[in-house]
Amino acid sequence: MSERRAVPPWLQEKISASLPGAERRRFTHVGFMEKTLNAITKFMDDQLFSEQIAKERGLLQTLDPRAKLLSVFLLILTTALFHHAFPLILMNLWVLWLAKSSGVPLSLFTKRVWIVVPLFTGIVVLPSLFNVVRPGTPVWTVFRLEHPVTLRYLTIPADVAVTREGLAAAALLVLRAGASVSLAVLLTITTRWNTLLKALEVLCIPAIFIAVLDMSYRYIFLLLHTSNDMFLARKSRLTGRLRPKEARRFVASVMGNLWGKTTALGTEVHGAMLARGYTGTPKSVSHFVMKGSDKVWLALVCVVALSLLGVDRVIL
Amino acid sequence: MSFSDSSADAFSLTKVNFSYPGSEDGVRDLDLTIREGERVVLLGANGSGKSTLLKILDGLLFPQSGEMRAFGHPIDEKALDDPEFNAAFRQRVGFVFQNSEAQLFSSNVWEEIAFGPLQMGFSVERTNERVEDVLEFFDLASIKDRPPFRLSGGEKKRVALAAVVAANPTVLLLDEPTVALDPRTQRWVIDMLVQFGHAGKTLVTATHDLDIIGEIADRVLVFGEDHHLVAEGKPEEILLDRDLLLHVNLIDPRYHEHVYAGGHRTHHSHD
Repeated sequence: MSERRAVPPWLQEKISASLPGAERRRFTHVGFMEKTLNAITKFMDDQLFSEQIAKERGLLQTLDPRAKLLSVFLLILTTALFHHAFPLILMNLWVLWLAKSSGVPLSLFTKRVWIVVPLFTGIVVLPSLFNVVRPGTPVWTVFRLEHPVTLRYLTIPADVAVTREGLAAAALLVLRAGASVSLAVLLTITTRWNTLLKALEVLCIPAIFIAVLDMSYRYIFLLLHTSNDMFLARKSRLTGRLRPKEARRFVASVMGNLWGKTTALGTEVHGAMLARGYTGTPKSVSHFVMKGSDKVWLALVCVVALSLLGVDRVIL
Repeated sequence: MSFSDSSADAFSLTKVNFSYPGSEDGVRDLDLTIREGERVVLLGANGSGKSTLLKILDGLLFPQSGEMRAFGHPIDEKALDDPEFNAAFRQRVGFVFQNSEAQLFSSNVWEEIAFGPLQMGFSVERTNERVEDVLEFFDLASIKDRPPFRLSGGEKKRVALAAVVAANPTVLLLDEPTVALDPRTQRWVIDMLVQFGHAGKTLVTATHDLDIIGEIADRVLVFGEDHHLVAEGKPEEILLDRDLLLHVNLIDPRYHEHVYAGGHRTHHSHD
């Protein structure tokens, strides 16, 4: 080590300890840094919250994860086969009851499902509401043209309207997507993520895929923590608002840095696995036990699925 | 190939050289023998090649020249490609990494501990028994379902050690086992290593912490910043050699620790 150097004069300058009065702004600008930090925190909170629900002693939490996964798979498949809205409404109501019986707060559950579903499915079904795409009985005329217009393969009628058939098809699709998403959300919120991944073996997913997913999930958290630290470190040295160019440069450097860290960590993890005898074939122990109650549950799900299918195909 | 005809040498290295691509870091011209049941400390400043040597001993890196033998058998990529030999070697040699984040790759503590025994081909029943024993011995039963990201630094180190010990290795390689730990966890790790030493395990510990070597080493190997082995001896001999410790950047002339043969230590500065 070199000889200790004298402290440079600028480092000895005293800055007044008193801070100027802060100007209180009515509107605070939320920069990308805060948004990123908030998003990371929200993700962590969501995971923690899901884990808490998965630990509850509700109806679905007591089931063997494989039975739960199979039943959800079967119910989603059945939902896709319905032709009428009535069984779909029944299915949605039943899923809501299941959520309530499993200690899932209904407000959170419905928000997660019924904000996302209409938004995304709505965009998909929007064109089919109009008689431009699907001819049918008009219920609401949007606008009138002087005469029909033909554009190569598409004919636009003089009265462009929302049709009854279009509305029915859209409602059916939204209800179907709602039921499927509800079932998927219910499965993920009432099962710990690593348990759920392990249960995928029942669907004959190769062990190597399950192991890779499991490790990815574990390291996502570590890398999120690292990103969080990098953003916080940058924020702690920020004296003003970042210009867009600087912000872009910072994000690029975080990405590069994370990439480097991920690569180095990947090499080290592989070394740690080899050191403990890993030869490329993952081995794990399953502690799942299919109890009598799980078999009863699977039978009940089959009865519900067949009954609703019967209502859909025979009665309606 | 089997380890049944192994000699009393756990490791023997002859003229071993290793350097990373584009870097001078690594080890140079290393001749070294570690006997079974011996407790050896690799002492050196940051970047002196201690971690690289541990990885060579664990068959994770291979010498670019020279030869490394474990239990009398040459260790190279070809030898470790043999599944039977690989499993036997991995069971005998356990490596506790400095970075617990890399070491703990499973989704919870139970699975982390079960990983080694399962890879060694233990049956499910035997794995369950072993994991329960390890959880009890390391006092980890209360956190067995926790994912690694919900463990403290001390808990991570305990789990990492437990996970490696679960396969009952003959040799334990430890990279800076006490670094960044609170005093109570440091003491726990040291006591555990002393216990392993009494149980006849071969311990090879890389560290630059002079405070711990008296307790965990029978022999100390000192590495210089030029990546050469510069000295070896008993802990008390090495700790009393102030010039050597200054030369290899393990103490600073202005502030250092005096270690007396009687074990009495004082800290003072030379200002």
